[in-house]
Amino acid sequence: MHPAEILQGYRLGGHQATVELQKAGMPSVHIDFDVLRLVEDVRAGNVKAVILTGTAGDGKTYLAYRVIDALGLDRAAVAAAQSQGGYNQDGVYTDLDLSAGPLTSARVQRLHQVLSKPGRLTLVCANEGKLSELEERFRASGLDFPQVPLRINLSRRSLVSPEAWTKVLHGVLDASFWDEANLPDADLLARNRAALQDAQMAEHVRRYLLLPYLLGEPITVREVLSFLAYVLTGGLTPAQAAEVSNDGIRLLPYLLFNALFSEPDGYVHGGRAVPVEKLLWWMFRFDPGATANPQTDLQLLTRLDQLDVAPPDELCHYWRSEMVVRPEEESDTKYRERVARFMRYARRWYALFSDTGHRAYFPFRYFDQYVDDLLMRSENLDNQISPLVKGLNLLLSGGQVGGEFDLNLYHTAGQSIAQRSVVYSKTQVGLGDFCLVSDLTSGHVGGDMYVECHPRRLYLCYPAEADPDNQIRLPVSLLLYEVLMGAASPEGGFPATLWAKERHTVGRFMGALNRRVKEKSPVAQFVVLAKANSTFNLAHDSKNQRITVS
Amino acid sequence: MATVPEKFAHYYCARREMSDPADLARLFVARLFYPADTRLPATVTHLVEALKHGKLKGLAGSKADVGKSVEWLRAFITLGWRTRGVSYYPLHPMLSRPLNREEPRVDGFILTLVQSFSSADRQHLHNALWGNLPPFEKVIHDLVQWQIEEAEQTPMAIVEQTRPGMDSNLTPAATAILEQTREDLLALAAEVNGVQDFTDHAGRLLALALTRFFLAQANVDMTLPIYAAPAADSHEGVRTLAHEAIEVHRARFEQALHRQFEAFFQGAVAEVGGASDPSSAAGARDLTERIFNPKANIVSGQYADLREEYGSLCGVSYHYYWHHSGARSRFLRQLHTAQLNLAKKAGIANSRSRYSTWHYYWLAPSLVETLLLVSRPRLMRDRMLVVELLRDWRKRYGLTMLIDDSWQDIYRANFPGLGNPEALNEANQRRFNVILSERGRLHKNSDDFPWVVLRD
Repeated sequence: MHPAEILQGYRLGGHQATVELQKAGMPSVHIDFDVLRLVEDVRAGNVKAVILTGTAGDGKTYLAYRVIDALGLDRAAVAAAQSQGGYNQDGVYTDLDLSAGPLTSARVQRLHQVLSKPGRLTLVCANEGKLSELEERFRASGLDFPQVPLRINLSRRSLVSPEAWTKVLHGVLDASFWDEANLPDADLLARNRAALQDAQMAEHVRRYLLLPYLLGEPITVREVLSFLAYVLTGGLTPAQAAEVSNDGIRLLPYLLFNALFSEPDGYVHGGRAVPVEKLLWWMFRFDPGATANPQTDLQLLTRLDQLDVAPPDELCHYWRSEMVVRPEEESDTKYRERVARFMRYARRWYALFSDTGHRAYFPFRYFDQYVDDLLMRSENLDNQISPLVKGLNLLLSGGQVGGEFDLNLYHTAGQSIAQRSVVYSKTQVGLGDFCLVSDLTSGHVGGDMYVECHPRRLYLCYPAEADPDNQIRLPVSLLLYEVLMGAASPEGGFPATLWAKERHTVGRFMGALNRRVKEKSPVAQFVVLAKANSTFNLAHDSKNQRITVS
Repeated sequence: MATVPEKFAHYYCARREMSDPADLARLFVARLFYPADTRLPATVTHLVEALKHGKLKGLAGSKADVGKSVEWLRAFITLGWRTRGVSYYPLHPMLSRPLNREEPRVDGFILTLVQSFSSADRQHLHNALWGNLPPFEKVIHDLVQWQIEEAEQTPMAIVEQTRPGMDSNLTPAATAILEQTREDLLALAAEVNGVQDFTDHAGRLLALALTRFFLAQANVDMTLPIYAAPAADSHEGVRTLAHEAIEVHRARFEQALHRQFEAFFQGAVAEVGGASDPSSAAGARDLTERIFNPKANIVSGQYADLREEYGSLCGVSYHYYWHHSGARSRFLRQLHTAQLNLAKKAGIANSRSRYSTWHYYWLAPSLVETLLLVSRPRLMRDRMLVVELLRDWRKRYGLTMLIDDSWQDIYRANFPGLGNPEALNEANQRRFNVILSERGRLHKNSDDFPWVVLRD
């Protein structure tokens, strides 16, 4: 079977997209995720009661079948028993889908019984919603567990963490079906595969995929496989791929760097529906082809063959043959279209194949620093608090308070007309009162030892020494980090758009801080920036019952 | 003897809505802590004058600076200007007292609500709000305090707590709404960032409570629930269903008002004595002036024709109050319209027609924020699945965003043309996720089951 057909089967809606659809003996992709350690642990009897949760496409059923195989059970018998509420024989109980069938009282009781006293194994697969419903039913019935079953949330697995990404690429690019196909080097699929096998290129792709992840988008195994299947094959059948492989110009749009950032199929501009290929849609939003970098653009346009990396022959050919005005052309419309197309292709290629190009077209300036901070131990993050606080001062004062090293208390509540003005107390919260932590430090879930995790956001916490439950926390997302660091940098400046989400979270944080921090000075100083040219200071002396205006 | 309009006002504890929902919260503060005077004490009058003319004790500095700051300060604390008065954010409780003359519209409801607060509740709310003011609000609080310190002390309200359940005038559903509102207001006071914030959120909460209260008092059948549909601006089916739900509730409310009108009419006639359906125009005019309003112009020259058309004097009166826009005291229509207006002000109904393509949320993001604030202390969780939160709102507030098992049969029986309920649910969920996301309240572990962040 041609690798393209196998890969296309993994696209959303394809013939191999779910475990239930996959036929025994068919060539397939296997990824050696950490969670497969569970199979050994079950076989060794170390784990007896386990709940696998996660969303559709996270690999719950795949993992469950691996466990079933390891215990020597018949897959067909287990699957068939699902219609009777689950497989229950020889000390093994499995419920492959809690959502299948109603959650009757009898079923709830049975699940409690087998999870409380598992035999060889009790395995339950459920999405988060159904599991929450089950837990609510347990609570309502007063059912608790002598020992909490192992609960693995596969949605917490980060497929764009370095470890998981390496495993995904290894599973897809080094599968046995590639050897059997023996594709010629010039074949589109072989070229795209070779490109992705390049470590630098793979890392650049991972960095682009980290963007949706860090911006809060969940990514499932099914979505990654579907995405990779598309970008490797360009969405073409083997016959179509063979046809375009011989035609340089026609081949260009299907090369990996272009397919990766291409517009998803069926996307309606202005429509409200999210494209089926979610990751492709995210990549399209960060398309380097639509990002301008004047200096690098000029290099691409004038010195394509003298850059730090050699461009593919097709791109060079396009550059040489299509970037001239043809004698028969009466207007420059066609020429301009060709230049625009070339710039799109060249930027995409350069952003993926060259570190210089990647730096030029990657959309976030402080991305590396953010990722480093996410992975750094909290004690070592103290230096990062200062620029964040400086950025907050600038952000909340509309750029008017820039020289402060501690955080002023900004008044953010209310919706009166005066909200257009900025009010802050000169009472400051010192940098030492804050700490910075990443989300993995703040919330650890039991089954995480089986999954590859990657932190998503930082939290600026106050007061540093308090118990986490008593702290005020500002979630610092990648976007907010970019805003604050950008504002605090020597170059300064805010991005063109300030996101509503970030404004709300900062507002909530500042409101809570206002209520927590107590004034120590007998005379509290305030600054009111009423209008552009109207500023006044208030000194509030509560003991002498006086407010001095200046 | 109570007239028919008074009986309605007494039964529904309200006459109509206030213009600004935040004024509801301001009035709530006033009634919770001060006697329900109609004439303001001198202290309050002097305070208002001082604010108006900028002559505030304790402010020092150059004349220009003080003038500038007072002008700004006045705008900062002003809640709203009305034709008959200005109201202020109660940054000091005393600032809740200046009247804008819209108070009689909802005073009954606020007083009934206030009576459900115990002394401990009042103290708790007071401490939560004014005991922990943000620094800048403390400045204004102190400034107001200095103005009234030397004045005659105004007595605090003596409110005797009466459980709403003991009030025979209230239906069980209305009693539950009052109790929930009390709990929510107490929870809100501990969660918000200062009094201005409290006033805005509490106003929304009170508007929501009052619009539900009207329906509860009217015993409106709620098997078709309040459909808070955030996707109504973008999904035709959702929009139509949302409109239909509102129209059905309004129609049932109207029917209830009609029934009650007849009952109150008979009750009022019994109180004044005499025939309830006099045949002569003079007798009818005399009766209506006594049971409605001395200036009521219900009985006109063609009384015989009217009586024949509407069956009785009661029918004629109902027709007059329902249809005549120029009727003296349009109490019936005002009450009926107030229910919808309050729903709009709370943020669960659109202010535009179904044919409008104007972008507008049917579930206002600000109401979502308010409900999240009051949900956290009650649910005692920092984050939860969105579906769980929606189940909670359905149970507590009767708000539904999803067509679920509880009313799927009704949907299928009455709205067969609107399509698969799953499609409507999906559109609403997607829109709701956008609302949560835009406020930084959404955490997506997975696409299908996102979490709502109650505490950052």
